[in-house]
Amino acid sequence: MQRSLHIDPGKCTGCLQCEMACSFENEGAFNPSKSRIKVFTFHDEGRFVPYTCTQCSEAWCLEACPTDAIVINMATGAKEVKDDLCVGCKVCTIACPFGTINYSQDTGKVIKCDLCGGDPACATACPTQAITYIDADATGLDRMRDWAGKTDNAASA
Amino acid sequence: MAWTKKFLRVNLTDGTVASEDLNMDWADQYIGQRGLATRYLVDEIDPKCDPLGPDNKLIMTTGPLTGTMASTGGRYSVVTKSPLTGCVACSNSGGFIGAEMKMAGWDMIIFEGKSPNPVYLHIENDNAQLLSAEQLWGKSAWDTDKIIHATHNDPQTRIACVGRSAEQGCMYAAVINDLHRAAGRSGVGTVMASKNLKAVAIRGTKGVAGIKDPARFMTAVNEAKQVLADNEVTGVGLPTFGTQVLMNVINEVGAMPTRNMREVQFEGAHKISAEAMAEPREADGKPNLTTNAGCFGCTIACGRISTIAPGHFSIENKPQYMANSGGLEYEAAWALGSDTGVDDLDALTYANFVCNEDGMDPISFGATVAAAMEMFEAGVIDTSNTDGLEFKFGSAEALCKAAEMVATGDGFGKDLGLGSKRLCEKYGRPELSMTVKGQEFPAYDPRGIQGMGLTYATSNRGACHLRSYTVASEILGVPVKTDPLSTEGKADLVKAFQDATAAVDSTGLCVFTTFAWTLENFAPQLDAACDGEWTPEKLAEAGERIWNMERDFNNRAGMTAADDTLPERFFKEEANSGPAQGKTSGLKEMLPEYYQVRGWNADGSPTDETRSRLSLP
Amino acid sequence: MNITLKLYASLSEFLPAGAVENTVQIEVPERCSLNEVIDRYRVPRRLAHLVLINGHFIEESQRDGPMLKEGDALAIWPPVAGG
Repeated sequence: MQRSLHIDPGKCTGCLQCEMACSFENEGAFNPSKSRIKVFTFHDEGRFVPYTCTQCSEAWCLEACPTDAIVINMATGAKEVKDDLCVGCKVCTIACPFGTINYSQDTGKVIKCDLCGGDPACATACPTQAITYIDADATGLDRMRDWAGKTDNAASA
Repeated sequence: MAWTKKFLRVNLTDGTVASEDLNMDWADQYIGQRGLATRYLVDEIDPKCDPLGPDNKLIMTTGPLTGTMASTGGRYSVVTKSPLTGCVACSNSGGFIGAEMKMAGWDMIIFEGKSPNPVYLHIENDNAQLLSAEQLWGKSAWDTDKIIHATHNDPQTRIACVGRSAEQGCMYAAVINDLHRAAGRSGVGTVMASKNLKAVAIRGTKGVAGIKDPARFMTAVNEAKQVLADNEVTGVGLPTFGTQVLMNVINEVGAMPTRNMREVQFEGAHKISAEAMAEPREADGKPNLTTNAGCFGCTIACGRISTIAPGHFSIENKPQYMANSGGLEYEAAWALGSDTGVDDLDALTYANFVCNEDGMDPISFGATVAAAMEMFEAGVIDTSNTDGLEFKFGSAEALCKAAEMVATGDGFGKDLGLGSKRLCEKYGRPELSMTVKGQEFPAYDPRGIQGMGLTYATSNRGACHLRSYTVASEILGVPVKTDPLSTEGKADLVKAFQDATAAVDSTGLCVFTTFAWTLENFAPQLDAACDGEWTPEKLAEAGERIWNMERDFNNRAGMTAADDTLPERFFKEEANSGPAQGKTSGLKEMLPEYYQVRGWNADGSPTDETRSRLSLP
Repeated sequence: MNITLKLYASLSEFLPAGAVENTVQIEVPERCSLNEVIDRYRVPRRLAHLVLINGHFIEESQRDGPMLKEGDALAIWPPVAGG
């Protein structure tokens, strides 16, 4: 079954364990500046929101790449960057409307979320289930369930 | 490795910045953070130096596990000689700048001398330079944060800075990091400003690597995280209610110091408790508490994010306070509320915002306001001293105005900025100052919790609850319950907490993990990450060594056994209600036994045998 | 006999209707035990950690015996801590 990363910002505390897990998995060091997932603090609103690549089916980054360095992993559905083909032109970073593929000045290549090949480290590390890795066809299930639960007035009266 | 093994030495007098290698022998004996930085301080300054003079040094320091995936791996401390107490100061903070310092490749920064002009230190990995802070001096910590981010055009830079109160010489000024976290106590911010150092801005992209055994480390980290998650305190209580859950507890057990610590229960406690912070309010149907928040790497997330009720008098025509920001902790709510008799949750939240905005320790601030209120009540000061304010117990207006005045150092704010001890001395009523070694008491009455009386009297940084939080045992039954009203066994209990806490404070992890972890949980994480062999025994011994080193410094700074005491109030005035009714502090029974278990002479100094056993400097 | 029941923190949800500031007056039998009160309001026993009568801590071993008197205040918290 193909799975997606599901973000529930209401559960996020801004701890950045996900950013450390991502960088540790990909680069062997705890380094949020190299994380493919970023947590945004909306200070005035009192909200924390993790955000990363949503693995578009028709990916702008893939279409834009002049060297075909971005390929689809058929098992996970993830769009992966092939470092040996990437020339660091950064056209994909301009093409992606969501800003979730970025240049890494240390390597000269671009980096993006690749779902860790099917076992995303961020979801494992998240202490509050703000990030989960669930059935790609059912990411709305929890919300549907919440609203379904409100429908029987007699039961909640 | 975990340590980066490098630190920055910043000479503010000369304007130079240099890289130095970390003393790894000392790291092996003192771990990092509190222990290691204090070892450097003890080596490099004269204990009798003027804390606000150029010979004092200010050290910002991380622990070996700061910036790693160990839960709560985000702590850093500010170590210096305190202008408030004349003792060693070690103020611990969370947030994100500690981790950023490690990410940039530095374990520690030592600031020495005094800059001729206001400056801030900007660090980007290997590049560290002092830049002019002319446009920052005279600005609040919040504005400073905004300006530095804009100047460097980098929203990911982390910033620690002082506000206007420190510039004005407020004796309990704090160093604020990440807008609403703080190295709060003992005037570490005052020292920073005395050196014309306004801020430290750090951006680190190197990351933390060099973990000795990464696989074993991650196993230990994940096991320890599970312990935190499964524990009711760290897994449910703290994230849901924060430390404010204690307001009703400590009031019920009759150890809630009220109105400058005259009484031991506060009739308004419920209105300023965690439960009240969760109640939908009349003004807008929302609760005071918006959400909880975590520091870097923290899987507990006890932080509070709050708003003030729309229409509250404190924020009329002040849109800058109408958004979310750091909410009340138990200590702040106690000092701003119970100790002053103010039961207005929004007024407390406002005063807390102001303390974060301009960098003041809310504990010392609230306790100083309380002392001023008692003097006002006694007619020692009047409206001619207080800029016309009716400085009465319970006045939310006085509290809010006082916070603003201390923030800018205006008028009566200058007096309040002296701190409780110097303020009461100034007006001839020193006995009304509730302090030990010049530092104001926190939120537990020594008559109701006897072990805390010993804690306060013997803490190396003046009255402090964190140095040995025996409340955990005496009231909360964590790890085991002891009797709060008894003095028996408290000497051993206090020493055990002091030593273990000193070790924990040196690892880079948060002391709140100790509600679920013992040193048995810390050791495997440190051992897998760090050079050397780290066992619970080694950690406990390091803690004892750190404690004695701090004590020794204080003795050489001029402290004596006579300073290990409490205000007369706690010996002369009995608790007037609750379970501790009729009781005074039994410190005089506990102190001699404490010196004995510590291995100290009757004058409070470590014996030669203790000195050599611990290899003290 | 009449006693005051106070349930705090996550135990607030077990309070009966009419509680104000986590406090409610309840009627209990003359020689009732603490566990009887705890069970009656469905507070899970393992979460009744801090059990105080008039502010005094009561050991777990004493919760089956008759401990309450007329007018007592029984306050209960789950495991909590802070600083």
